[in-house]
Amino acid sequence: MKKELTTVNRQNNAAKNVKGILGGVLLFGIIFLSLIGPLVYQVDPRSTNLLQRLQPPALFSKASEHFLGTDQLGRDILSRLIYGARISLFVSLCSILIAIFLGVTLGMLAGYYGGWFDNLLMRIGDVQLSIPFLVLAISVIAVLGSGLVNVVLILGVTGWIQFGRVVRAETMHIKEREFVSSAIALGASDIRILFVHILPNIIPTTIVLTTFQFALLIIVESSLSFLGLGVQPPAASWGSMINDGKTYIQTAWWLSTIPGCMITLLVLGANLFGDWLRDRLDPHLQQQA
Amino acid sequence: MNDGQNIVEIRNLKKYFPVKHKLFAKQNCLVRAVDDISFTIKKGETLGLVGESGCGKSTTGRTIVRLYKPTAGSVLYDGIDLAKLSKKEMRIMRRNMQIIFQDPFSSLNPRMTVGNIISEPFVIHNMGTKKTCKEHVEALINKVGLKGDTYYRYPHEFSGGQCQRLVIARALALNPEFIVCDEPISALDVSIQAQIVNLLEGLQEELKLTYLFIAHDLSMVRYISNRVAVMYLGKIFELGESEEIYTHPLHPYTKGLLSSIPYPNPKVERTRTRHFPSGEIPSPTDPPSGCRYHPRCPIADKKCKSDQPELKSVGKQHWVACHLI
Repeated sequence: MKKELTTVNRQNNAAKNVKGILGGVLLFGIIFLSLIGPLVYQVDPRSTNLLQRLQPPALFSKASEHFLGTDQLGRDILSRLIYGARISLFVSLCSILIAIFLGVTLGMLAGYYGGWFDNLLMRIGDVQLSIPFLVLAISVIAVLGSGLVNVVLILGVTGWIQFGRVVRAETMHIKEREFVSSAIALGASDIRILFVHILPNIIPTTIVLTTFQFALLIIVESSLSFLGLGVQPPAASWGSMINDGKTYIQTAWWLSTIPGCMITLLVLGANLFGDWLRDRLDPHLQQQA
Repeated sequence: MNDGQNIVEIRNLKKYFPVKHKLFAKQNCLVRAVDDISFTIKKGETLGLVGESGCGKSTTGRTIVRLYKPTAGSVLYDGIDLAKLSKKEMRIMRRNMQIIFQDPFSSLNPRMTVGNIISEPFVIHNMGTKKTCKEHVEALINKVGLKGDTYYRYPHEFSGGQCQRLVIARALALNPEFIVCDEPISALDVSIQAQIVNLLEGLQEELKLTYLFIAHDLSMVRYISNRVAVMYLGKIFELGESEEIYTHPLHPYTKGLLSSIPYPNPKVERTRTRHFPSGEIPSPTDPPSGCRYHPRCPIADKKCKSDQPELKSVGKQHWVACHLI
């Protein structure tokens, strides 16, 4: 069923893929830069230089030696941005892995077995969702203390429900399909059915959800750091950089604005990429259904 | 008791599904999908099971292969009551009976290669090495009439008829004796339907298989079955030799069903007397009292409203559940 490459089709294909290319470039570009950045741009993000404080970005002032300027302690913004990216991305990645692990496992079990377990899980999820996230986060941090590990744990444990609900619904749909009944009739164990038949079929949906949740977690982590609940100084995440710069926003606007722009670009990239991925995977799924 | 001739025996089988009502409803509804049926299937024969959609034929098939647990009654395979088997024993018993479904695309895991799909039975039961598995699978694929390199392909690369052949190949992997065919051809093109039915017949002869052929295509069931059972709202109304049922139907419902088959000959069509069942099929949650068919039956009388008829013998190998026969 090969599609002829008419002009219209070519244009459609290109248009469809622009989202994916743009999103991919933004998302993976930022990730890539955060990884190789320190090797290429070897400026210590922590070295302070009070003579150089509050320098504007090089684009806006011929005198400045720093590409993106300096903050109130003279630390180079670009360097802090790169190291901050690592922290923001690391936190989001770790928490999303926790959320995926919990969400997929519990969601599959709830969807497959149903009954009281399903009810219990969904009610716990409802309770979690009914509490505003920041309120929940502040309460937990008040008890456990702030810091990298705790932030990762909170984001992971509260994020599971997003995956759990979707995976549960997918599982309930898939287990009614005849290839699962055939496997049962052949004598397959429940574990085999969950891992060999159900799990591979929920992966596409999970991947798409991951990209969107990833974007969300970046924002959430930034919010926590902005409030001073996330990573502590001198470590910088983008959120805490925005926080540090908020008192200078009238004068040294680049302190808050630049990290803010980076967050926007990363989230935009993740969402565009997720959109494209979902569009690509959906028709396939419908073909196979 | 089992005389060695009957491979499957159903005794007073019931399968009810509770319908979850709204939160504060006093009573849950029960869908009486299968409501006290009994029959036997002889070794090597094809028993056709026909009826309208929703009469409980698929549920019967699935309950026999233990995809559902019966609400009451028993399923005996080779004289052994399946309910009395332990989990391990049931697993081994499953090798003997298989089921093929209506939708060929839905019956194959879209994320697995054909090779993996067909070798799954061997993997589940720990049979054979990787190499012998592959050889067996290739042999099975050839047996169902597919050629070429299919082992590493995915189901979406095949057509409906080819997928159904693969489903049959998988069902044959463990050398079963009994296969429930749950509307295996309803989703296929007419020309392909004939091919698949011929394939099933050929395999039956070669491998000495027994089929329970569930369908609503009356002509096809007549072609492939030795005996036919007619189901309605969870009950069996008539059971007998295939030709006998089609040429001399006794139950009013069977007559009604067969009247619905159009004849290609316009002369015969015009001169036929046809009895169509009147009205709509009732809901299985609230079946009529007495004989289930009495609201739609042209010859129903007082007794039909109050008493449920039992299957009684009316000739050689012919049973009817009707007060008026």
